Amino acid sequence: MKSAIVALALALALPAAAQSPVVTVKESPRWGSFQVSLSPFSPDIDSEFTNAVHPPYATIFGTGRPLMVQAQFNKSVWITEYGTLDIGVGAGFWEAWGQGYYQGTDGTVIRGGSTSLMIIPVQAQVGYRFEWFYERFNVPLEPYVRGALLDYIWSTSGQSGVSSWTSPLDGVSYRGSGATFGWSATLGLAIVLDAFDTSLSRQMDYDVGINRTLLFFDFTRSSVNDFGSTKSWQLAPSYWAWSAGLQFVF
Amino acid sequence: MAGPALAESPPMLRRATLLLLLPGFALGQTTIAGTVTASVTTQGVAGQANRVECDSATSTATWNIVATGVTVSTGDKWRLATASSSGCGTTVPTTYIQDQLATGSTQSISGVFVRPMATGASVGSCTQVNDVQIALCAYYLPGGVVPATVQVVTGTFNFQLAVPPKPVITGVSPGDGRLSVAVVPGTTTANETATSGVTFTVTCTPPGGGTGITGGPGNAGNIVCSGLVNGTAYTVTAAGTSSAGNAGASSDAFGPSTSTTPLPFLNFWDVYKSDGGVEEGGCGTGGAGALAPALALLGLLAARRRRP
Repeated sequence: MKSAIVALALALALPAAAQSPVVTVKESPRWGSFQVSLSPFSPDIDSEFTNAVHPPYATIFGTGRPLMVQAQFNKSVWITEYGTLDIGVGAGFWEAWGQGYYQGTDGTVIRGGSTSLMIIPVQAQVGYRFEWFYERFNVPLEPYVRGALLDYIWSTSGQSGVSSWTSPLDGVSYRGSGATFGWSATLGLAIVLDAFDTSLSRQMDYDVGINRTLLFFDFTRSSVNDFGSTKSWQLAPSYWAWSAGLQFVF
Repeated sequence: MAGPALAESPPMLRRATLLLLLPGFALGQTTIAGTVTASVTTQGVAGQANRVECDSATSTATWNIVATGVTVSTGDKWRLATASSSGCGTTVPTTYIQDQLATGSTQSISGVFVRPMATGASVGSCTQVNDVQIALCAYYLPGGVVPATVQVVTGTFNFQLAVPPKPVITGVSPGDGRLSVAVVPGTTTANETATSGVTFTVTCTPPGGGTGITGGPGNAGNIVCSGLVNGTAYTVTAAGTSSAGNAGASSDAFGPSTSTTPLPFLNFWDVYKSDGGVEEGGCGTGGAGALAPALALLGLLAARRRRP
C-alpha cells in the first residue's frame, strides 16, 4: 500500500528519474508549490429555510455531496528551519444536477426538467506548513494551517440556459448567476512521501525540480455569504469539509 | 506464369499464342492518378444513394472527376461507367452510362442518372438487405475514340440499401413544453442491418392521434420534442434513418403517462426565489471582493520579479 501511494504520487516524474544517474547533490532551492485536491461539497443554501418542509437545495439536488476539484499555486515567501509561509491563489469547479418540480393543483409533486447549480471557486490564500518534524527528526508529517479569501462565481440553469426568475409581486427579474465572497480556515496534515523512497525523491529533485511530494488531508471551515450580507445566500458547507490531495513543493 | 509456359511451347504454338496475346498487350490499362466521386442530387450525402434513389428513374447524380497527368484537348471525352467493387474493367466498356465532352482534367458532370449506375454495377435489387459498394469509372477517350491504351480514373460509391432496426425508447423526461426522449439503437435483424451513421427522430403525438411534433434528427441519446402543450399526455415513438436516408421501423410507443406530460417545471433558481430566498444574483460585494484574488496574483508576480 505504501509503495503504491509513493508510486502514484511520483508517477509524473518517474520516467525521467529512471533514466538519470544516481544523484548525490543537495536539494535545489525551494520557492513554491502546486497542489490539487478533491472534496465532497454541498452548499448550505437551505440554512435560509430552517422550517421549510421542502427546502429548495435538498428538494432539487438531494443530500449528496458532489466532488469539488481544486488547484492551488503558492509562492513561498518565508522559509525557515521550522516551516514555510506560502501565499497563493487557487481555483476549482463544482456542479450539481437535479430535477425541477411541478406541484399540481391537488398538491401532487411531479419531477421533471433538468436544472443545475455550478460554482467556480477562486481564492487567495496564506498558509503555513510546519516542517520541523521532518527536517529535524525525519518524521514524515507536516501539519499546516491556511486562511483564504474566497470568491464563489456561481450560475444556476434550467432547460433554457441560465435561470431567471421574475417576482410576481413587483415584476423585478433576478438572474440566477453571480459571485459571492467569503473566507475559509483550514487545518491539515500532510504525509511527506519522499520519506518512503529518499533516493527517488532526490532523483526527482534533480530531474524535474520537485523537492517534496506531500499527500495531504485537511478540514476546512468556511463562510461564503458576502461576509454576512442579508442579501446573500450561504454557499459554504455547514460542516468542516474534508479534502484530500497531492502537493508538489518545488 | 505465362512467360515460362510460352518459352517451353513448340515454335508454331508459341507464334499462335503471341498473336492471340498481342491485342491484349496493345489494349493495356493505365489508371490515371486522381479520383471520381459522385453525389446524388436529391439527398446530397456524398458518395451514397439510398433505396429510393437507387430505384428512381429520375434521380440524378453529379460526378466530379479530378485527374492528374491528363492534358485535355478539344473533342476528348469522358466515358462514365460503373462496375462492381472489384474495380473498373481493363477494356473500355461498350455498355456505359454516358459519354461526356471533356472540358478539363477537373470536371463536374451533373445529370448522371442513378439507376444506370446501379444496373451497370450489377446491383441486383434496390431493396436488398446490405449496402453495395461499386466502382465509378471515368474512361478518358482522346479525340472521343477508344484509345489503344485504356486510361481510367476510378472512385467508389455506395448504394446504401440497409435499413436500421427499430430503436428502443428507454425513458422520457418531461420539461416545460417539451419532452426529452432517451433513445438507444435497436438490435439488428436479418432484414434490418444498418448500424453506422444512423440518426434518430422522435415523434410526440397528442391524444386522439393529432399531428405529431417531431424532434431530431440526432444521434442516439436524448432527443427533444419541443413546442408541446403543457399538461397534455403525449404518445412518443422513435425511428432511425440510415446514413443515406433509408427510414427504419418505428419503435414501440412510449406513454401516454405522467412522464410524457410536459409541465411548467420550476428549476432550482425558481424554487429558491419562490420560497423567498434572499440572494439576488450578481456580484455581492462589488469589485472590491473580486480584486482580492487578482491582487494576490499580482503580488506573486511582483515577488517573483524581485528575485536576484
